[in-house]
Order: sequence, then C-alpha cells, then structure tokens
Amino acid sequence: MMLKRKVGALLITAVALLGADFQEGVNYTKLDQPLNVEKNTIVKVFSFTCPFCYKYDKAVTEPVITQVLKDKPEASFEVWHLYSKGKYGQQGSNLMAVARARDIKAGITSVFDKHGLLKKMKFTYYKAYHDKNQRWDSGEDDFYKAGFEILGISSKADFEKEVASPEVQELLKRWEPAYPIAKIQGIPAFVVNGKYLLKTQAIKSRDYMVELVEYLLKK
Amino acid sequence: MNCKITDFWRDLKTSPINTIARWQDARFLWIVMAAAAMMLLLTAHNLFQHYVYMAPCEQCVYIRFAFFCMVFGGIIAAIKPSQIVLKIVGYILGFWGIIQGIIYSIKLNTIHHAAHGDDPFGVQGCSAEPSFPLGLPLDSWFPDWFLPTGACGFDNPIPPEGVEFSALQQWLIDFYSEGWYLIPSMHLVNMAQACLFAFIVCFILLGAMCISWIIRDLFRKDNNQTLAE
Repeated sequence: MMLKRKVGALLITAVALLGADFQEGVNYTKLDQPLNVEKNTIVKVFSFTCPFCYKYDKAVTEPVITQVLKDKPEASFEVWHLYSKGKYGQQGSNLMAVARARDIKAGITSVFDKHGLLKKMKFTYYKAYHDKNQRWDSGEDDFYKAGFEILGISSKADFEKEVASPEVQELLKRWEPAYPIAKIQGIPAFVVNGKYLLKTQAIKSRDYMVELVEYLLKK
Repeated sequence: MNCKITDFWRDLKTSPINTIARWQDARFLWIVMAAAAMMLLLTAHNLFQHYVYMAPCEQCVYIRFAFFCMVFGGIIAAIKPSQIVLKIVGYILGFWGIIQGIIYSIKLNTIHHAAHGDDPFGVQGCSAEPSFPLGLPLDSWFPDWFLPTGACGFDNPIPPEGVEFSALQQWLIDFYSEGWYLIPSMHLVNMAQACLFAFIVCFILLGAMCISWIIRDLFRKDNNQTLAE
C-alpha cells in the first residue's frame, strides 16, 4: 500500500514537473540575435525540401497554431521559406513570396486559409518533392511550371517583374534571417516573439507545443 | 609454419591475449580494418549513390566520415604497426571513427523512424547545412562524397527522368524503391541499423586488439621489473 502511494506521489510530481515551467536550454533556446519582428509574432522557418517540415505542416502546425491563436487572439503567425536549402531554394522562396504577397493584397491574412495561394504553393511543392520524388533535373523552367500554373503566370519575364515588386522584395528581405535561424538546429524552426526558438527535439505532442508557445508568448 | 590458419587458431586457443597482441603488431589486421571500411564506403558511394541514385542524407555523410577515420587509422598503423606512435594514432582514429559512427547511426535510426512513422516528434529536424567534426568543410571540399543531397531520414532511389537503365540497374532501383533495407519487402534492418551493427563489430574487434596489447605489454613490464629485482 505504501509503495502504491509512493509511486502515485512520484507520478504526480513527475506530471507537475512536466507541466511546470519550461526551461531555457531544455525546451527552448534564447536567440543571441533576436529577429526584428513585432511582439506576439510566431515565425516558422521551413523548406519544401525538408521532410519534417512537410510532416509538421500535414499534421501539427495548423492545429497547434490555430489553438494558440484562439487562446491568444493578439498573436500572429508567419511562415518564412528558407532560400538556401536545395537546388531550387531561391526559386522556391520567390514563388512562395509572390504567393504570399498576393494573399496579403487579397486580404487573406491567415496562412491556413484554404483559398490562400501560399498554402497551395507550399503543398504543391511538398507533394512534388516528397510524394512524387520530382527533382526537376532539366532545369529552372521545369521547376517553375507548377508554381506559374498556381499563380496564373505565363512567362518568366512576368514572374521576374512581380518578384522585383516592392511588396515581394519586402517579404524576401523579411525572410532572410531564416538562414541563421535554420543553422542553429535545423528546420522546421519555430521562433516566438523573435527571441525564443523552440527545441524541436523536445516537442513530444501537439498539446505540449501549444503550451510551450503560449508560455513563451507570455514571457 | 605460423602462416597456416590452423596454427593461428591453435595459438588463439592456447594463449588468446598474446596471440591477438602479436597480430596487432603485424600489418594484417590493420589492413583488414582499412579495407573493410573502404569497401563499405565504395559500396555506398559507387553502387548506391551513383548506380542506384540513392542520394546520401545528412547523417549518412557523417557516417561516411566515421568510416574514413577508420580507413586512415588502419593505413597509418599499417605503415609500421610495431612503431608505437603510429599504432596509437591508428587506435585513436579507429576508436574515434567507431564511436562517432555509433552515435550517428543511432541518430539516423531515430530520424528514420520519425520520418517514416506517423509521429514526427522527438527529432531535431533537418539541418540547414552539414557540420562535420573539427569544423572540417568536407561538403565543399568533396561534395560528391560529403554533400548531403538526400532528404533527411530518406534513402530511396530518385532516378533522373527520361534515362534508360540497364536491366540490373532498373532491378536495383525497384528493389530499393522504398529505401535501403537488408530485406526490403519486410522493411527489415534499415541502413542505420546495418551501420550500427558494422560499427559494433568493429568496436569489439578493435577493442580486443587494444586490450590484448595493453595487457601483454603491462605484463611484460611487470616481468622485466621482477627480473630486475
């Protein structure tokens, strides 16, 4: 009987410890160089070539962030494409930025909006890369094909003109720190308030991630 | 007379420590270590990467680095194993490679499970770029060998489009279409587990060599001391 009670007490302590304060270095990393973003911003760094980004976007990111935004409506969520990863990293970033700029113009604020072009772009390239194993060996034009279709663009010149527009350039500039962030522990990478990078390895469940993000938003 | 395999076995049975210690004073075992590691490297690079189009992942190129440490360790010791400095360098490089290799293999196995299962949690994700021990920029020096071009946790073949393959090549591509496994149809023993097994075998063998050497030479010193007294 004593043993049972002891084990019970131990379990309660363990649960309390798990649910209690998150620790720097264990659950998250404090960035030496904070991102220049507004308060209450959650940033996700991803690449369409990264299988774990795809996995997270299929089953984790949307439910977790939706819950966080429900609990803390003042928070906002951004996704930054990593330009440096893969043969078509920069081209991928250009496509994603054009898609996002158009979404913003159309008043689509949430990246999870099913009408959003960014969401469509992301999943089109995730699927092409991971499900269909496409690598676009014949070159850039081949890579751009699917993206141009989504955007309704017929020539590369038109696309390049749109990439050069101030809205798209501003986004690409904003996404540049994706690289130093990704170098710390890989991607997907989630940064809260521009200062706290979640330790991906420590994320055990969706609920844990919701709690950790909300904890860091309050910090 | 000593060259005969039966004699080797007899010696090993009657005085194992002295026999193994004597062997590691000779070139043979060191060459075996270097050759075995080199053979695995060539299989991975020439057969799997180039012939079957299985692009290496991040942990996979680290595992290559670990095997290269063993190759160099074996070669350096084999120059003159009786020379104590060369032998120590051989042991250090060998053990360092093996231990690194074990760590990388375990990590690759975890990533492999997370990448192939329904639960993506518990792994660090995919790195932006590789980082080798001692900060060696091996990926820019020898990209063909050390630049990870495969997605992390995946090693299935991705053949270029519109290319005709030989019958054997096509068969291998189909055989490993879901990634490398010892028995692909059952998804039994993945690349990480196979590498882990290889490193553990090397660890046991090199460990036996090293321990026999230390024990014999310590005893020899004891003997000398007693004689001097």
